[in-house]
Amino acid sequence: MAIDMSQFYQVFFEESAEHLAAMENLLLNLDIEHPDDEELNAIFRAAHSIKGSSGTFGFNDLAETTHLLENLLDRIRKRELDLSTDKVDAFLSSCDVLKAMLEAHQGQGEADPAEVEALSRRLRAMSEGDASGGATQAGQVPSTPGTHRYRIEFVPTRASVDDGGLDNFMAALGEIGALKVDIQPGEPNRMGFWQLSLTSDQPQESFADQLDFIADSGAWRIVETSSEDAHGDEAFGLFDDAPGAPVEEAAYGFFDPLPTSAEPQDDSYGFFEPLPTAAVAASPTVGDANEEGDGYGFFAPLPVLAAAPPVNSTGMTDEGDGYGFFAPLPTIANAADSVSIPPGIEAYAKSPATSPVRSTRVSAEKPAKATASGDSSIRVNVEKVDQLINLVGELVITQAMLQQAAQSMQDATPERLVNGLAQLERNTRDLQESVMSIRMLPISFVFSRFPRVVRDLSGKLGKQVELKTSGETTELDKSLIERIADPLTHLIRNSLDHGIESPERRAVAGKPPVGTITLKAYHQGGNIVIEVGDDGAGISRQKILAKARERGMQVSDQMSDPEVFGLIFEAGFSTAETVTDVSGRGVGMDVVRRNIQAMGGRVDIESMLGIGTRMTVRLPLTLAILDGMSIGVGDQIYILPLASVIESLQPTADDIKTMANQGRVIAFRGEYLPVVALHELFGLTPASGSFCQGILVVIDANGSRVALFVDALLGQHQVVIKSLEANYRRVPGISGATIMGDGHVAMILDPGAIAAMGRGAMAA
Amino acid sequence: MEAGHKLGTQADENLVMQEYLTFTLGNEEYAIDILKVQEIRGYEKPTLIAKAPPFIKGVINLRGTIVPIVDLRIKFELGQVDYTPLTVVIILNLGARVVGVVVDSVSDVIMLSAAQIRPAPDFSATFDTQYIVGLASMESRMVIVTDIERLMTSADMALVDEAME
Repeated sequence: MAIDMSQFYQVFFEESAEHLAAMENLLLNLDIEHPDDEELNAIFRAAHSIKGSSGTFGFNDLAETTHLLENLLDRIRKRELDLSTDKVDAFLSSCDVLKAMLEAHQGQGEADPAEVEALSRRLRAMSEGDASGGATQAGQVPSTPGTHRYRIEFVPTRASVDDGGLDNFMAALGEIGALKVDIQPGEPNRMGFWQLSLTSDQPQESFADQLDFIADSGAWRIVETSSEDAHGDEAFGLFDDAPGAPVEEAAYGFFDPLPTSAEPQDDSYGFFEPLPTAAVAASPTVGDANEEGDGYGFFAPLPVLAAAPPVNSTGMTDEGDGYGFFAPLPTIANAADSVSIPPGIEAYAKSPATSPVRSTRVSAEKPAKATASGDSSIRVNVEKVDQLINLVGELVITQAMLQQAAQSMQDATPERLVNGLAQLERNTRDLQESVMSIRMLPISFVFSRFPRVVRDLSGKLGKQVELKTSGETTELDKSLIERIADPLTHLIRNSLDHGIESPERRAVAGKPPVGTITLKAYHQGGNIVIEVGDDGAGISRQKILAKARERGMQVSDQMSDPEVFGLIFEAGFSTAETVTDVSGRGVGMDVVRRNIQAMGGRVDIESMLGIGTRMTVRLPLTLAILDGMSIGVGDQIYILPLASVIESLQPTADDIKTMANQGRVIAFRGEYLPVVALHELFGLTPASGSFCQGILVVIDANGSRVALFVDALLGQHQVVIKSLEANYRRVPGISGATIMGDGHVAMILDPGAIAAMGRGAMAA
Repeated sequence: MEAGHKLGTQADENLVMQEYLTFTLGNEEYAIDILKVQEIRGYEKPTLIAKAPPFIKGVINLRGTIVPIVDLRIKFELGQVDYTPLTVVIILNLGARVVGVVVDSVSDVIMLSAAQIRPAPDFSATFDTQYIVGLASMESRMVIVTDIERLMTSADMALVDEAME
């Protein structure tokens, strides 16, 4: 669980930082005399979002502080409290504190607990309308909902044991919650390692101060365990072998293998062999590092503890790779002091345990930071990325031009040039791939919203539905991710409403009462395929045909299944008996198809009555690059999107028939297709006027097919799509332009528009 | 400040000189604001745009940007329309758009102050006078100072989907 959550930490950090920045900005621009409701709400929302997500991720210190902030903001926006300059100041400083906390969680810097405490007091005082501030005792405020479980570990100082400070502390803890002593050193002097469990509704700050009093700084820590019980307990198991193990024994462990040791010791080197065991045993929170413990930073870790004692630093230790392994070393050092050992050995014990600790403090902190920033990300304006992609596109074109130039020299090309060009080609390709991958996001960004959609809808419709997703890691261009969400949502709603039957009907059909909707994404060729499947009633062919006739559409019983099912994408087409607020109005499916086609993709339906329906969406990986076929017409070269090309054929003069001496058609696999001559459409002079000399390319344009007459097929290219509209305007029949290997511009044809133009020309 | 204003205006008009690029179309000489000019390059055969008006020659690849090319000689029915190695294209930067215009030749960069530009007489012609800022005389020549941005973005030129007027 802890590991699962940690992969989202980065997102949380980024989001929270954004919210904080927005909040700060809004606060700074706030008109204190006449605050704008919208602005107050926006600030409230920002605080609320941070609270919500930090609670989810178990960053309770953040949640607590934002909770206070939110309470106050809520009252202000309800006009129960007036806004004043000092309130805004308090809000701004809480922004700063929250920022510090965020950074502390990311392993950079630390949040000063005293400052946090002061701030909480200030906020509480304000929300209670107490201008004097700070009068409220931390212990009296019911600040956090729910209870916390803390694990408190410390080694008390001799003074605190002798003068009763320890007893007082225990008594104080007993007052604020349920206290349990897990580990306690032997009676004679009670010096040594203590471990307490505390269940309380108080924030840990309320007793951290006292703890600091009875134990040396660095010799105590508070770990909040509620969110990570399993984690902590596992590591603790070690200690169970030696119940109540007095620390003296651990200290002896320095020089002699600890008999109770349960740890594999292979990884620790040399002299102080058993030390890791003892240290690990005493340091449950770094349990994760056990396996990786390779003995580096032997004496380093004190700073980890010392740096941010009260911070629950799971995220950090997870990445710690064994640094900070021996965090509680001072414990042992302390204990060693209290036991009488021969002076020579004492020197050993002290020198590694104490002095190197100080000297390596800095070096140990650095690697921890480096790891923390290692998987960080930067947020970059999409425009900048697009610019980079464009530039790389240029580079690819230039590289292709060079290659062509070198090829035209044939044998005269110097070998070094050829080698260099080959190298350049590889490098540009790698560069292009990595640049394109910047824009790629896993499709889980879209998929993640659907469980909620399905849950809400199935509840509303009284159906039982399970959503299964697979292939969430499939990557897709960011712009496509944004645009695919709505069509997919619609398909899923459709499956839920029309596909999956009610539990009763399913029972009658002999199906399990719980319906399944599967959402699958995978790569196929240069496309990404997203399937939305259900095990519902399927689509009734008869119903669709009947409905189509009712609406006066031209249909026949001979139509193939895909064609019949394709009808449901027609505008205003719905076979639903009743119109619900979910679907059935017949708007939507046509929009779905239009949206998907606008992305250069297509959607197909397969269905079996009684078994289920599967809708398959095929999308190009990116909008920036197109697989195209270059065709020649006259002296011009055009690019036809490969996805729309079905096949090409060389007609004989007899194949082409005329209708009413105007429209030309060709018989192609049992149907007559209109023939569209590109040169007529574009007003070009063809290489030859005869149809037998050229080639017919059968293209699929929005479900209808036309045969496009061109002079020649030239080749297949991956082309970078350039906008024609940036400097010119839309041209009918052209969807864009690209730059060919020789540096010339070629127009990219829009098959849908070409087909429509062709038909229009014929009708005219 | 206010007191000296009147004197200053006169002085400003004479002092604030703006640079103009002049080019010839047939026998006429035109001037355009030099800040609108991105570069001047030789003519290369553009890629045709289907069903475009005849004065739009097509598009070229200008270092990765698709740039439409307009032949002003055809548009204004001026001069001999032939393409020699000396034919030049002025690449203009108009707002966010880049457009190339074919002219007979580029002649000069001149300095003109507002005072030197006289209003053009109002008469109807192919060259709508609303695109003319005024006329200026350089030595014995007459230069037609043109608002090239307004001209190129007009509906007349069919270069943009919706004219910016």
